[in-house]
Amino acid sequence: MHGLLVAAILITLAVSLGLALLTAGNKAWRDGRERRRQARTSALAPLVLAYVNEELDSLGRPPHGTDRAVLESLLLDAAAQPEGRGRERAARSLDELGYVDRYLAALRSRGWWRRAEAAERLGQARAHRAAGALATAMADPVAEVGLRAARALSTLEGVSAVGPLLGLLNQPNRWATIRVADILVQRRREAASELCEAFPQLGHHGQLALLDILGAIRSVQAAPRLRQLLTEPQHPDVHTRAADALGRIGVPESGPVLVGSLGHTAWPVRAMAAKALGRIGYRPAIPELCLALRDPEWWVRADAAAALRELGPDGIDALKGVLDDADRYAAHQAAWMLEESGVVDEDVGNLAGGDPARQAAARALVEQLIGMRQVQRLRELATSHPDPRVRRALIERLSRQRRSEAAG
Amino acid sequence: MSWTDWLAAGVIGFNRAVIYYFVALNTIYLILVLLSLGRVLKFVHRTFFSDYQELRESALTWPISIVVAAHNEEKTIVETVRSLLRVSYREFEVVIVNDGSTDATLERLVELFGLRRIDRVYRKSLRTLPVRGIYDSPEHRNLIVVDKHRGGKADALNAGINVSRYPLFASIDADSIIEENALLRLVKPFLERPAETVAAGGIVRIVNGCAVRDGRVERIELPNRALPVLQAVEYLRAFLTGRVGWSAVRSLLVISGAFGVYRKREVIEVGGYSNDTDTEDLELVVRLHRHLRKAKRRYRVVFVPDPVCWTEVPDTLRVLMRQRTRWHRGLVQTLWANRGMLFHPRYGAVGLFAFPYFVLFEMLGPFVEILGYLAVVLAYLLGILNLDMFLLFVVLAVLYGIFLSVAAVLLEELSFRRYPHWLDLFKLLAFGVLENLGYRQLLSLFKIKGFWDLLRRRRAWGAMERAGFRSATPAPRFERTAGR
Repeated sequence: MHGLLVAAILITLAVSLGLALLTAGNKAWRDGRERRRQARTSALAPLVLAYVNEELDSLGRPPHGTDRAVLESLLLDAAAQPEGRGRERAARSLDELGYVDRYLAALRSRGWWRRAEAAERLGQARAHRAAGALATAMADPVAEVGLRAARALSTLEGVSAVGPLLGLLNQPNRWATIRVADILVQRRREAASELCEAFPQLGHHGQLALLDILGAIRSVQAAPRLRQLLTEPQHPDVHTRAADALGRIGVPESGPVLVGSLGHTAWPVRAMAAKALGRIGYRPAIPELCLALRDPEWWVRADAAAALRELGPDGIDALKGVLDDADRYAAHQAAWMLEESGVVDEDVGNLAGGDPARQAAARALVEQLIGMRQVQRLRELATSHPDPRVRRALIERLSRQRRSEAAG
Repeated sequence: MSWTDWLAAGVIGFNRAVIYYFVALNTIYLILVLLSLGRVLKFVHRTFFSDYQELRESALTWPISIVVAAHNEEKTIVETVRSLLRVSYREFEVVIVNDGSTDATLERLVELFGLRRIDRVYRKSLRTLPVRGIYDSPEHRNLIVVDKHRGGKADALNAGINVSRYPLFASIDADSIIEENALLRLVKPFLERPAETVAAGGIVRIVNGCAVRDGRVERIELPNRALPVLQAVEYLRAFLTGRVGWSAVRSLLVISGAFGVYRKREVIEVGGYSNDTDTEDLELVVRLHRHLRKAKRRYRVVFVPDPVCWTEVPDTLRVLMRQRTRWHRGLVQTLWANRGMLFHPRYGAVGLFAFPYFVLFEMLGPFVEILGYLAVVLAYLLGILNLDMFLLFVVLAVLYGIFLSVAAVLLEELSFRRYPHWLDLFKLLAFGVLENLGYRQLLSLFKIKGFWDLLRRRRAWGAMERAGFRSATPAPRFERTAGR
């Protein structure tokens, strides 16, 4: 036992010392590497700039050591420029100096992260000759690699079909959806018709992801198909996402079908339809949105109130009209929306005088809010409003209310 | 046999048990260190940091509510809110819950952010004490302040959850600063596996000694005082080797209350945070595990080592003691309340490994340690102490603790390298040694005090004295914002 303890102590001491030395050594090595990198970047950046601006014919022989990584970073930055001769020269140089061959070799690496990085770099390097390899990489068993290859290809404008991308959507992975959407947004060719055609072939997750993508890329071409989906018997999630997409796309022709969806049996669909109507600014929906304020589901009421707020003066008038509603939940939502949008502050300002009609409307609004006991904002205004006449009027009215409550 | 013989036999038996306990505990630590080493290095080398820009810009990234419970935080609340309003995220809201502060916390917020009181309607999914008022800011449309009666942190967080609008919420301490991209990094697991991920935690680092300006940590340095540096090493070990390791085996029981993201639906399902314990963060995560395992739902609770939350740690022993006694009380309360999970196969790895570990080693560990010292004294008095063996054992125990601390510092240096200065690295290594020569033993005493408080039914946070963040430049004059 004694010997065992001594051995354990010595081993632990040696390992601890070793780790401490490794820590210090690693830091020293990294600091040194970083200093070298910074020095070489300062030295090479002007050369790269001169080359990109056609002041230099070539960057010389393929670099080694620190220069290889530094030059790679500088050239990739130059190749990432929106357009121009400089970008092309940087891309050509990356090929001539052997970087593209390295990336192509890394596309066959055993480590998926190396393959993914290689795909990404090929896109950044604008390596058009890598289009074939990238198309193959889109079918990589690791989704991460496929997505990066797809994005690289979209950068190279080498994608002629969205099929391989759509296969990636069937996984319940929102991150994949986001990246496919990003790729499709960047495509110059409108892919909406292909996406709509692919819809029936996808699984449930894929269909939902596709609808999100159509909304994200704001595909006006897809709007008719989305409206049609809302009228077909589909899973409620599909209807919800279709309504959301229509709201994001924003064409007024979607208004009637969204109004119809306010009567859907599933509350997420009703809520999303209300939200979408606000987004597209569909004023004819105002009566139905007022009815939706009395929906039994909280989120439907909240989204309907928010939508009314977005529908301009008509929507604001509609919210004011709901303040007297028998359904107190509807009335409270309306009051909150009027406060949040600043309408209460604005109308209360008319208490000071001026137009008699506006003054009367302001008094009526104050009475309604007091009747509903939604007085937090009024109390605040009674102490903070810049006009002393407004403050007096509010204080007097609120005091009367307190007296009558105390008496009652 | 005489009573001294019995006592001697007992002491010898206990000492043997302590040796087995020591071997078991440190074997687990070693496994966690090795697991963590692999996971952290994999994370660093295989994460594409360009992804975060895509997440930030995409309209499909889920929006998030940031919920902060604040009680008497007048010194730090403004910096905290400023840093939160600047987080790099496409759609989010900040919900500050003023939990019955008796200082100027609310007044500072009202003045500096131009808050106005409104009659906001919200859904009371969780029961809380009454809300006195809700404020919004015309200038910062995504800032909401909830003023309520004092109900404790759990109650305040529940009120914040009620008022929040989005499907995810982040729970952040009022004395914390999160880095600009931290939220993106912590939300990514939810997007990668949206059906399964219910909670994710990030790493907490100490802000003591760092220079903060406009809600951003501008310069990272370790403090000059010893106590916060000791805690810096402790946090590195706890997060980089402990939590990463437990997350790797799907048994993470704790997400720091200072910085965690949750899916609101599941938190509401389990009834939100509870005031029944002194560590509402630990208790919530354990309850989530219990509920979801019982329902046989596929889920995951993950730890992401990259997103950083900077927080102020106690720099006096008195405040440290209050904090650690409270943590240990909370641990015991949580484990007791969920004791049905112990060794129960229904709860999988959580019930069979993580929970027993926390009971045997985290909860009972301080007692074993202190009783071990007492047993040594007894052994000496009984004349049965083998002094050589005892000293060797103590040396080994201290050295092993040093090994764990140095391993954590190495992991930090290989991965995130947040402390760029050589002086800070030497401080970490030096205090990684010193930590085992009194500090950890002191923490054990605090934990025992926590247990004693529990037995005496004493529960209180105590005053958490704050020094405030160290300013990078002379403090600017505060100006009134528009609207007030």
